[in-house]
Amino acid sequence: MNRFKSIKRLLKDFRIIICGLFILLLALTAIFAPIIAPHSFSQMNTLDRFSGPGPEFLLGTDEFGRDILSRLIHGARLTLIISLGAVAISSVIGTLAGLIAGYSGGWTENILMRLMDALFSFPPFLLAIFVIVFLGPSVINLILTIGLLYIPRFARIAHSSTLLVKELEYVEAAQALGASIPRIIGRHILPNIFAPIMVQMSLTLGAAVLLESGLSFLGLGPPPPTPSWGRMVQQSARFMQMSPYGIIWPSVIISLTVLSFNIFADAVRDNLDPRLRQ
Amino acid sequence: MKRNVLLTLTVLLLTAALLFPATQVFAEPQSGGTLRFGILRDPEGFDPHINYGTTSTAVQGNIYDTLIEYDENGEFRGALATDWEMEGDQTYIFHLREGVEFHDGTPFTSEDVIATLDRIKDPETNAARHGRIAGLFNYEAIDDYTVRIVLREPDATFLHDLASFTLYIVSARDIENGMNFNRETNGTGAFMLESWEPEGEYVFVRNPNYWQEGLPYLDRLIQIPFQDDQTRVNALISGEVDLIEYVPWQDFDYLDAEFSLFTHESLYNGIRLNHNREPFDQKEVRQAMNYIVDQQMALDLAFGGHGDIKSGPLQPAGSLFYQDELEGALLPDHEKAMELLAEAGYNSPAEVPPIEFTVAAIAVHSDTAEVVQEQLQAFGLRVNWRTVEVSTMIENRTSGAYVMQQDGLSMANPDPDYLRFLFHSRDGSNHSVGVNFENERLDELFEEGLKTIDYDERKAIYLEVEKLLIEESPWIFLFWRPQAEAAHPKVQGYTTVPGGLGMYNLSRFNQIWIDDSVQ
Repeated sequence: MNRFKSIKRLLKDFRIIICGLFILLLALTAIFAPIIAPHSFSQMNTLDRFSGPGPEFLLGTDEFGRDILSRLIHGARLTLIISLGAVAISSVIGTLAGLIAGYSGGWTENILMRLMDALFSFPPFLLAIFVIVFLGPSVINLILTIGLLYIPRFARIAHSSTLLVKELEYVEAAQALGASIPRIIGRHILPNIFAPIMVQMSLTLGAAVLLESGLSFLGLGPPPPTPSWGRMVQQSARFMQMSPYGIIWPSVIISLTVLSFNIFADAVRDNLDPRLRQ
Repeated sequence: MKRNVLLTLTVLLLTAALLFPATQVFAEPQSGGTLRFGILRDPEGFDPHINYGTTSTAVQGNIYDTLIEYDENGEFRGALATDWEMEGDQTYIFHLREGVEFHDGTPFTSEDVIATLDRIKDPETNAARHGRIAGLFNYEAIDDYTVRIVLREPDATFLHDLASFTLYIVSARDIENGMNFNRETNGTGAFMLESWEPEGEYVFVRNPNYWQEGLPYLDRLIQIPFQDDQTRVNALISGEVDLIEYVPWQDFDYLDAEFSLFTHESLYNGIRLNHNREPFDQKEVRQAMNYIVDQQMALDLAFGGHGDIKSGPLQPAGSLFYQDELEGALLPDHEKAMELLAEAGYNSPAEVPPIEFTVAAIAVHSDTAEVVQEQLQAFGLRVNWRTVEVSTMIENRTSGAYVMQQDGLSMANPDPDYLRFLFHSRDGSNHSVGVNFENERLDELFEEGLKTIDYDERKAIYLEVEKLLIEESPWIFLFWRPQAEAAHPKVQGYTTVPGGLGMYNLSRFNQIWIDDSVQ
């Protein structure tokens, strides 16, 4: 009953509707990319270079005469796979680490959380560049690297929430009844710290999209011909004076995607946090 | 009434505008003025016998002179030597120009030539041409203005050595006094270095005692490094500089219309195939690659169609050894490629194992590679892209650690003998040595070509060389990529050297003058 109510409350917020729809649309585009894309993403065409938006190429073509729309659609696939993969890794490992640290306390907590602090102290972009240069750019490596970088975000939130929740009566009651530790953590603590973690997931998705685009922009993204938004911006930047479309569309899509994830996260937090609710 | 005045004024102005450019065509060179030149990077050093790269020749070449130099047609003309003759096949006699002075006033004589050759021969100098000069049989001064140089065996490329940058003549007295050539300068050239600061302005002034009467026209020449391509172009457009080198091709059309653009072909783009690695261990597969790739499309997409593919596999247009017969020898032919693959045992392109494609992360290589990758994949081959640093690409040339590598090369001189340093089994330090490429007939031809002096005979030899290279297909032969300098229209007298010698454009500023009537 309670769960149903909170979903209903979320759906009343227009920010969640708009951003949610955009994200849903992006996800569907990514899944059905080969069906939706009007052209091949790699087909080059000498005669159609730098064309502006028109009936044949809806958003225009780039310096190799490739259809920008088709490249954006296939790029969505890549960006979402990398971001979702990274967030899956960081949220699972991070939350688990935070829960264990928060619940057990003592040395375990100390070691786990100082490890997270160490990881957190690196500027994420620099660390990502370092790791990618070392491992070589590939989709798997990007997922692992970005995933690793965002583990502390989840660990910290799970840790602090666990510290609060584990003092509550129902946890004590479970302990008194002799419930096993995994059961206490899984059945009693995790569901009650899930809201802030969900908010963090949405925020981190936005950050991951930005980081992936940034790395691709620097030439550390997946190798061609796989289209990636960041690489599209980088390649087209040299031709800005000849045709601005190659740089405008991917930049707009990157901004919209990051913005959607961030606003979505904000709205979810506003609605689920009792203190922020009027 | 007012309208009439306006109309008259407009007509007058238009007439003036129409007449004015017409007068420029017949303008005589004017002396005086300053040329500000935007260069790619800091010149690093001044030692006239060390190769610091093309950008540095604009410093070295305007301060120093060589014995002979290339003219506007890429042929030899006298510089510090007025003329020369051969005695037999191996002995050259050079007659030196009289009355030439170094910047410090010391007269130039045969003693300076001998001291220069000695300095290059000295391993301590670390000179770029050390090997060539150390390999001479003998050189001596006959009198103050005559020098005799004797080779060990006939060598058709010897004069190119003498005309090349890094063989500039320095003063015997400076060598004796232990001058630091890397930081101090004293040449016979048109300009004298007045002041400089690293990454800042390099200021040159006119040499009043220059040996060419009335030259140079310019009073001052200032070179300023701009590393970023777009910044350099913008510096020209805004008027901060009057001339720039390394113009990115995206700006060719605009600069050609609004400014003066000087294009030339000096750098070659090709793709190395490692014949030790599958599937390129089969000659037919290597040949097929050359028939799959559409060079013109690659040039159109990667360089906007600027550049040159016409010239057989490896000679630039304008070269004396350009082989008309080979024009179009490498046009794409997918049917033929299919047949060749079938001969190699692959019934369809999909049966060929995936090919790893090594590409350096700079646009001049990665743009070309992206087009070629698409062409190969459209044909049905599987290509896996591997990004590397430029330094790795260069290392790979000698280590052979690649299957297929996007690469480029430049020519030190227009003689086709440069192919020896790629494809001769022992001298091929730039390719053969890395992948153990060996073709006995090619080796023979290279050695014969070096010893043959007669032009027609040599041309026939190098025709066979190029045919053999197409047959062996150690590379996917692509195109000469475009290079250009651009100048404000007021800059006159800039000349380009044809046949892949564009790097010598930048050491000929003695002919440049500024036309004040152009704004």
